[in-house]
Amino acid sequence: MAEKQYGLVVDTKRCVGCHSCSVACKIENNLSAGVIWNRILTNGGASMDSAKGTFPNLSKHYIPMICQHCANPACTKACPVGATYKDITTGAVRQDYDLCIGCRMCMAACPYTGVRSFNWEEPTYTMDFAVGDINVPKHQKHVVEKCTLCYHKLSKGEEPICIDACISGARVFGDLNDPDDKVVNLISKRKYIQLLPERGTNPSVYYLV
Amino acid sequence: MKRVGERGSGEWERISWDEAISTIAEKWKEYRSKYGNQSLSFYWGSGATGQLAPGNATGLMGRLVNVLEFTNIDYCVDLAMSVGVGWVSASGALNDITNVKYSDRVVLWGCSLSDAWWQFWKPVADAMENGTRLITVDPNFSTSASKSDLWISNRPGSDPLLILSLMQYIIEHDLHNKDFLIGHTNASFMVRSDNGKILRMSDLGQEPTEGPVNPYTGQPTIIDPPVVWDEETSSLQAWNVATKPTLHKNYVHEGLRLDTAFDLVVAELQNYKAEKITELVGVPVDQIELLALEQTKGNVWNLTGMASQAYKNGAVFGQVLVCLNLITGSIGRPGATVGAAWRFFSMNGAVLTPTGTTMTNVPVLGLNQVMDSGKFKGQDWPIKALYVAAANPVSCAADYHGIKSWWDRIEFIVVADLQFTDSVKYADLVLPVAHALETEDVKTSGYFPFIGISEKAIEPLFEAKTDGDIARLLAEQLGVGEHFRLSNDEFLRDRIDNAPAAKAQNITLDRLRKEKDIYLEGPGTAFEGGYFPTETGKANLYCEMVAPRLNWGQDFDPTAVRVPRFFPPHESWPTSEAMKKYPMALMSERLRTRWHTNEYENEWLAEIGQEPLVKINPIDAVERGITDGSLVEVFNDRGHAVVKAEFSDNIRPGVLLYPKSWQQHEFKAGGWTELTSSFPDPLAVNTSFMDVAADIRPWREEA
Ligand code: SF4
Repeated sequence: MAEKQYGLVVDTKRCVGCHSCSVACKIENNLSAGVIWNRILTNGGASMDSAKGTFPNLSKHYIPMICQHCANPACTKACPVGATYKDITTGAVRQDYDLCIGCRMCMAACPYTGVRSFNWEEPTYTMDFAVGDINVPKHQKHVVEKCTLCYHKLSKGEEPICIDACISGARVFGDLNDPDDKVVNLISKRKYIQLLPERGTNPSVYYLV
Repeated sequence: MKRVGERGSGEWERISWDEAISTIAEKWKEYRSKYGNQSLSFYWGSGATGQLAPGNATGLMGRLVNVLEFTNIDYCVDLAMSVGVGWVSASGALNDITNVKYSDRVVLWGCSLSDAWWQFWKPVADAMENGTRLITVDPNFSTSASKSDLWISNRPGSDPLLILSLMQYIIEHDLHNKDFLIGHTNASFMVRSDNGKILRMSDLGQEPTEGPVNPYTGQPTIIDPPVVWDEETSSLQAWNVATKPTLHKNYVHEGLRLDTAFDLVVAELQNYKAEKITELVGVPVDQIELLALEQTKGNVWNLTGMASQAYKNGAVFGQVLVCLNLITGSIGRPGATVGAAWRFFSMNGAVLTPTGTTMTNVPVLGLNQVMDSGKFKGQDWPIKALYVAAANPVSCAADYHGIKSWWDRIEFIVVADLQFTDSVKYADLVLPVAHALETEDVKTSGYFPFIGISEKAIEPLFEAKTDGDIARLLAEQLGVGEHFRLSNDEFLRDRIDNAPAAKAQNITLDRLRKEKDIYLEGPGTAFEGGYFPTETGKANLYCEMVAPRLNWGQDFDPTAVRVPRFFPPHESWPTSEAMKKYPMALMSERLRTRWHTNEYENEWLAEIGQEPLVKINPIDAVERGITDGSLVEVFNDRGHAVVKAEFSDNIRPGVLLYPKSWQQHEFKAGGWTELTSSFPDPLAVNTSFMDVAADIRPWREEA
């Protein structure tokens, strides 16, 4: 077990699907055109904001979706070169662009479809200069990338950008291995779900319901 | 840039700032001398707000417009609610959202809080964790509705009818707060049956007396107290003399029948019994009763957005909603209030009027009439020039063809903007304006209880100039430069440091520069203590005489809303002529990636955004042979929009809902602005964006 297992608690009762976290992530990490690491899914109807059910018996919840930084990740075992690996100090699942050979085995192994993306082409950007944090590794062609849990911020003792960006106070960050941490406190008090528990990955993102 | 082809042809020529400024100055000088000051007009929006920005007619541009006595085209947007609130309370409903923690119930009316006013959602969510119940009244299942403990879907435009029914139920079940009604409203005042006026002591033969001098008129106030029935003495008494006023009494005084205002209100309310209006309002009786009961549970905040007031009955919506809180007495305490979470910080207004002259407000909804007749309030009013700043009326205001009708009749149009908007497309001269991040400014807005500094990040890029610099250049050439030779720093200092509100809280520009944001301290609750700044300090449950927001010679009845009563919307109502032809109610919602059309070119936001679409209940769609995701034409007499259909069970059958804020070129054809109406409600003089009847059919492209 990692010393720490940083993770997120996301309160679906608070999340309103505003996408602020998603856009903040895009800017902080200088994501290239078409790449989104933090997607907002809807537990509802077919389109972004539609509900489940028939008028007027309806329900809707948003599920912000990022790499689940699993305690027992499927992807790390699938990578032939060790480019995706579990960071010992933070518990984050990391992706080393320099080692990645672009085989996309991790993408196939990961049960959480869509959290990883592959740069088929040289990345292009809206701006002709890099935005966000200067310590974010440069994006590369022919590699897989995904949420880093803002590793560049963790190493400075800061929280991922999506936490601060959330307008609803729906996202809480902390160490799941620390019994006194606020995230542990939250999941001990509230009902929660983890995504696809049957896959045995033990994801580090908990959704309060 | 100046236009070289026909207006709107897209043919432009790049010119220098010198040429642009002198062209404008020459034209303006010519019009002013030939046709008078009013021939120059100014249209602003909310695209850039701050103290130096031109939105809300502030900044140096606002100052220029006042000095030169422009016609100010009043944009008539989102103003109806406050008109109705004003009739009852003689003030605005200003609340601090943080007070929501004291609310036992928050009822959202026409307010998709979590989509349109995100900043208010967290305080509400926090309150909910501490037991506040959230209730949403909205025809459609908005995100706020999905977060609510109770969602009531009513027919669009029926909010006032529903509120009147709640009042009727509450009174019939004796759940109204009689002490509050007597102590804090004019419910106990006696009303004359012959002319509907409130009985005054002069009617009983007591001469009015003179009170303190009114600082606005310079004349002494006339004191002629309203009369109540005093149960203690069983006689008619001045309201401030009686010790036991009553809510119920009819009495014949020298042949004249008198009733308490409350009895008249109650009599009117009998028209709105739940069983009578259930079908029209589209809400089952048991839900109406449930909502009425919720209104009586502790501190209730009836929190409003902008949708319910965007109908012909928008001012009445404001009026009846305050009345609802009056009868439950849930008003004037933290958490027990009505209206939006607005706060305002009043700046030093004198900064905008250095010569004492001001602009004249002409409502955009009456502009075509002014253009037709060449007259405003009986005076000659030829409008020859237009300056548009911080606004994009062509794609954000209502009734595209109506707008184009007055727009095309104006000889010389300048649009200052930072994006190439639809309004820029139809300009004669375009001025590139610097972004808010390219100049220092002070921000305060009704939307948050703060005042803050907006720092300058970079110098204006390319050839852009700030609105303030543009105003300075124009002023010099127009011969009024002497009033514009102050620096931004001097302007901001005067505007903030010398504002009475700033003095009270010791807010200064220097402090803002250091602390960045300063919280605006109380009063955080509208009508605090149940006090209303009326003649008697009591709220007007009975509105003896009302005035329109803007009087421009339109026909209106000042006695129409004496007792709270229902008026149907103009179009969006089953009995309207328009609905016979176009049976669907067309409503709009906010697009989460844009602030009106601002940011329309932002690629980051476009990635998570949508394309123009209309949401429709599958029942209505299937009936019309529409398939999910196909192109459809939404249409009425005024125009059409061709967009994608999105099936959504969120939508109440009979309703079409479109996310707004698109530019013309983003549509397959037409645009939403073509369908909306510029019908002017004579009392609120407000744009009824939601009061629209339309129909929808599959789009078959002509070959
Ligand atoms: S910022 Fe917060 S509320 Fe908005 S989508 Fe992300 S988690 Fe949800």
